[in-house]
Amino acid sequence: MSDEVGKPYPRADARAKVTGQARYSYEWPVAGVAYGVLVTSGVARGRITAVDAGAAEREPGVIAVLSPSTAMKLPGDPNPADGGDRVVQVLQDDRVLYSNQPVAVAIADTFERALHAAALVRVRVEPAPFTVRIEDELHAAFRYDPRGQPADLLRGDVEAALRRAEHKLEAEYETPPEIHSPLEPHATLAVWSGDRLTIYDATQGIFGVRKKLAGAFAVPPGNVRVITKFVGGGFGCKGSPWSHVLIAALAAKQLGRPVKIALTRPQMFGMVGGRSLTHQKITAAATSEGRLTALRHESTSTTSRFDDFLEPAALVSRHQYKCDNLETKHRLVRLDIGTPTYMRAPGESSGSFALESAIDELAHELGVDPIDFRLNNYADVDPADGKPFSSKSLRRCYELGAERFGWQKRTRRPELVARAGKLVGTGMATASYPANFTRATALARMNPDGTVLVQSGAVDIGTGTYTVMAQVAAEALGVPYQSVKFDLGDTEMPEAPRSGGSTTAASVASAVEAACRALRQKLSGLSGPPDAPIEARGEAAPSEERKKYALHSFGAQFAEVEVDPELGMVRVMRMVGAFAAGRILNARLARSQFIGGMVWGIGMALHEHAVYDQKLGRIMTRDLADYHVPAHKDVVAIDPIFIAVEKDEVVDPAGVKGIGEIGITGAAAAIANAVFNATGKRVRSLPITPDKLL
Amino acid sequence: MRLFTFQRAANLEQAVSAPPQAAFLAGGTNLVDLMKIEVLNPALVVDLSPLQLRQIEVRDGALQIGALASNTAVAEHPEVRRRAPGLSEALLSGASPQLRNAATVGGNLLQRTRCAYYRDLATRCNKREPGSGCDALDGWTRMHAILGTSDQCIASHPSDMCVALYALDATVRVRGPDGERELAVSDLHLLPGAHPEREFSLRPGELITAVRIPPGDLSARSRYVKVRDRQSYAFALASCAAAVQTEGGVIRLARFALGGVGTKPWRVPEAERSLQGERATRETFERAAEIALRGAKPRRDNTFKVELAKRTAVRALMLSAGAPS
Amino acid sequence: MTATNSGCTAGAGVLPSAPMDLPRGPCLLAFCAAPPRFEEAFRAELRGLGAPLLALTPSTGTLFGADDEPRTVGPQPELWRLHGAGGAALTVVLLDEKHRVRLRREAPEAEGTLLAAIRSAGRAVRSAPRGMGRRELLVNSLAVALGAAVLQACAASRPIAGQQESGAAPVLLDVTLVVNGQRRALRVEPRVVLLDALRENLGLTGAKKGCDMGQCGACTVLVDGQRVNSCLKLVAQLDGASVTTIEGLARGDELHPMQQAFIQRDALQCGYCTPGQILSAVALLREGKPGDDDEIRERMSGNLCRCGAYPNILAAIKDVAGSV
Repeated sequence: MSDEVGKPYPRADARAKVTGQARYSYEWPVAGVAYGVLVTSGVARGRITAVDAGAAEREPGVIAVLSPSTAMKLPGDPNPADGGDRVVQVLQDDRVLYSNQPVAVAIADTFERALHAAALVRVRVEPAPFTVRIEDELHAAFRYDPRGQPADLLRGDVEAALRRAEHKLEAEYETPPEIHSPLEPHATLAVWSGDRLTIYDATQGIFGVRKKLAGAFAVPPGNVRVITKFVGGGFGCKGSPWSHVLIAALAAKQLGRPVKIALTRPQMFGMVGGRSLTHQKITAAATSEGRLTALRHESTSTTSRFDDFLEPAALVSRHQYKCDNLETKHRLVRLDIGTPTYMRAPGESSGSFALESAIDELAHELGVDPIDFRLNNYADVDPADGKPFSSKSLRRCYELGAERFGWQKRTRRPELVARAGKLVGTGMATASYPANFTRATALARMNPDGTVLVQSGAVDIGTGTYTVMAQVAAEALGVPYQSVKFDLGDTEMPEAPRSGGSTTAASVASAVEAACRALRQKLSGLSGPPDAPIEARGEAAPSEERKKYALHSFGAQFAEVEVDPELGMVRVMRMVGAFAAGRILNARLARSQFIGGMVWGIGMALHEHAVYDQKLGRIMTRDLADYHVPAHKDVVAIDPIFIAVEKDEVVDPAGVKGIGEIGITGAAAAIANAVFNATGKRVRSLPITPDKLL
Repeated sequence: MRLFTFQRAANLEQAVSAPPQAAFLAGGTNLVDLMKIEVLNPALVVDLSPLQLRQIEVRDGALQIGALASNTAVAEHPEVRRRAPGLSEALLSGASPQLRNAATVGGNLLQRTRCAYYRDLATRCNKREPGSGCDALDGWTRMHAILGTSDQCIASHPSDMCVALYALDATVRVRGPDGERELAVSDLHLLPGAHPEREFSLRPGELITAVRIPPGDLSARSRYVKVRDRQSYAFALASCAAAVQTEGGVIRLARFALGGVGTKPWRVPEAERSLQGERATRETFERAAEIALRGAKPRRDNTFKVELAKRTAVRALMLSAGAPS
Repeated sequence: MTATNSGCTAGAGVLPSAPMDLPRGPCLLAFCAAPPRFEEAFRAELRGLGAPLLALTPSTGTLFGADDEPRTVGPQPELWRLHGAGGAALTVVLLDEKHRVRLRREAPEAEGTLLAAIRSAGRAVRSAPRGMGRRELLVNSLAVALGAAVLQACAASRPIAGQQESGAAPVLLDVTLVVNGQRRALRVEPRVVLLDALRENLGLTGAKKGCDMGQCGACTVLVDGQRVNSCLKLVAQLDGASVTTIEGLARGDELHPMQQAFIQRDALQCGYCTPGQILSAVALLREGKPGDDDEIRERMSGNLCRCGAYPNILAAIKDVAGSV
């Protein structure tokens, strides 16, 4: 073994990115490509009664305007019942289901012409009643099972424990609707050749796109090739094929030429998912020594009228702390909005805000140090079902993080510390994220010149897949890293899961190791490289053994904030995150992933809020000036540390846990807890904007 | 963006005799943005960049700034920093370096509101289409104005530079078909009233050629404070440009203008007068801020702006006065 | 830069009008290639307008006063020469009350255009509140209405897409940019911005479109050495300008120190904001050496990074700044 895993090699695709050579989906040079721009609805609900495309079609260079009345009927089903992917609207009927829904597409020979043509299309909608207010539909809230687990879980007797409680907390927490807002807008370039379709798509899951398109156009999956070499950020919103993907393919087929569509930035708000708002309630009881005796975590989130997606915020309470009387509930409410979707740590980020704030509130009330409180309630086995953890190093994380941060044990009075006119506060929280693993396959090929090519149909969304898989393969084959190239992003390669749920590293690394083991077998008789390329495939799938364990990554988040006491502005001055997430494949790239998650925590805590105009049913924060994500000045010192190898032989063959999402979990709570420590003000509704601290 | 005819103005005379429906293009950071989303749709765009209007100089103690001087050039000019630091601070707090490099003083003076309804063709807006209605009134109003509003329009003025220019008593020189004239910067911007579509007091064909900041020591004391939802690259929730001159702890002269809260930058002479002769203390400034916010009409989402604007004004006044906090 | 076009031209005339024969106050001159009929409806509209119309053909001239009956004034060849009329079916010139030219337009059709314009202007004048400068309002209304009517006429005469005829092609501008040291010639509509010209016309996809409205900085390039958002720069304004994109930073295989630093510090993840970040950082250091970390953060805040690579970007910039 050559010990390549863990080494901090620079990103393999960095050179392509810093020179502008990396090609994103809209940028593939395809001859004769036409430009499509979507037309979206300004009405939240209703039926399209007329589409007046005359003015648009008369504009120079406009090829066509496709709408429900002029778009071809798809030969297959774009929304099959067993689909498993999001329900899309692809110009097949006259229904308008949410504001900013695509209702037509203008195609022209230049982008400017298509953009203007789209603006000229007049779509008349007969409006129907709608609501985007959760309060209006709470009466119709229903149970929804998160991730195959039951919606509700009850262990012990929470009510009795609450009645007996020495100390009780009952608090409501709210997280707002959020929008992923990657820098690269969704983009699709569709090219037909007979009944074969090639799609360049900004997606996190090329096989999901292939399946969706093959179904919609009634062609065998083998007829659809999806190519995604680089994606400008995903975070979950590119994990499912949305309407524009099918619309691009439809337009290309109908017009007989390649078509590419990129969403405008305002079009990114509503039709490509987001994080649902959550209304959460934590009811907890503790002894005076700080031991939890009851914990109830209820969460309500919202979804569209036509597709169910739950933000599983209460799940985190099932795994986080030891408590004999534990209850969690998930409820879903349908509104006239676009369907939400996975957004960086879906459930764990929103839920950890509530849970970790509540724990902090309890600890404060009892005068117990926040870390001590958490240690008092450390779960050695999974609280939900008693399963042992496949690995858990949370105690070490608390220890390492506290030391790095300079956290002194304290029963800290708020408003104690000031610096140059600003109040200073510190806070901490637990981070956790499930270690997911999905079936994946890979191929490894040794060439006569000794170089190795390894392939899997995964996607690198900035996570470093190109790099770390080459390291995994090098180590598995016993060859130098420099001789290995890892390629991805093509459905002609072996199938891999979508890049979501922090799954890729774990799943693909395991498949790569399997392929390399198989290749080693084939090469075992040879003394040097083969005369002709020799390849082998490998597959990895979750073992039965996994089901006996609770599988999570853990961490400890620390934050220091400065608050202007008069004007209410908050600045996160430094953060430390101490993480234990299995075997770290590349220290340099892992550090970047953790930082990325923690920066998302700043955005979640202080900035992000997609606001709906309730009368119009429309998101009004529809660009990057109104929907704030952290800018450079918002991010000062972010310091992640991590255990290089947390041994885990159960989680997957590679011992990898995935780190793309754990960085955000607990981060917002750590910041909110720090704000409380600085000001004495407990903010339970994100984001913490100046008006909330006046 | 609609098709339009593009012309370059070879000189000021040509620019000034452009037809009234021509739009003047300087840096493009506002006009091109609004043309792309089809909020503004001029049939003729006249490029002013060939004009020689970029000078930044001092004449008889007054700062003379050409209308085409870039935001960056003005903010970083040593004379501006010396004589009107609040103007420099205001400019640097706005937008981003890229935008400031392209944006001009004239363009900044004439920039349109950032109201999300104005910028969304799917909603009703009296400024875009007179008489069509205003969906902002009972919509998302966090960023909207609490002063100078009408039942037709509550859009706030987004500029930082203008707030400072108001507080500095700047004047704007304008050239038109009828010749040249000078007006107070506060007379340039119109209140929405019954006609939100009328935003400027400029006559057809008139072009801003320069901005003048009158001489005086007060300007050298100017400061700018901005409160926003993000540390940078964000519009103001509330802001204030203030200039206070004291002698022996007593205020001799003071001026301050509020930003982010008015349909135009907001100066209240009565509030300024209330400071004269008073001791430069927090209480004095709080009283003046109270007066300045009189008549504020907040909406559902921006009630906080009343208190925030007061505190921002106090902060800026304290900073300018150099008073201990 | 030259304008290649046909069909509709528009010019801001600076010629003084000839003083003889023209009634005082604002008036409209219409040079028609063929004699218009000017039915009663037309004259009714004119009466309500409050400004006279001098309708000229090569051989006749008729003055429609505000209130009088029309009277013949004979051809006015000097006026034709003065206003450069004769190149289109209709040349209309609007004079303000000092008889300075406020508008000059050419249109492919005379009667309908004039009628539409006068109708529209009349409406505006009649619905204006009292107390507005009447003459000024009149001139403005006419100018706007004429402009619109003429554009309408031009648009109506444009052939349908797919049947392009040379007579009514959209105006294209010839612009030359010096991109990464190379002269590149573009022939584009005036509405094309630098970002799209680079990505779609010149195949330089290094500059990225993140928001297309100056709110993210992904499109940052250097124009004449200054960092700007290329999504808000009309190419028409940039004739002769020098543009530096990410593709122009490296020297062959040798990376620019900032590119090198970004790789070493892993100052990127998905890479989409990266070209803009690098060019912005290069420009930042040229603008002036930063005093401290916070100054770098502030001066880089015009480049958003959703992946959150900010701390590493800062480190990369400091590496380069320190080594200068």
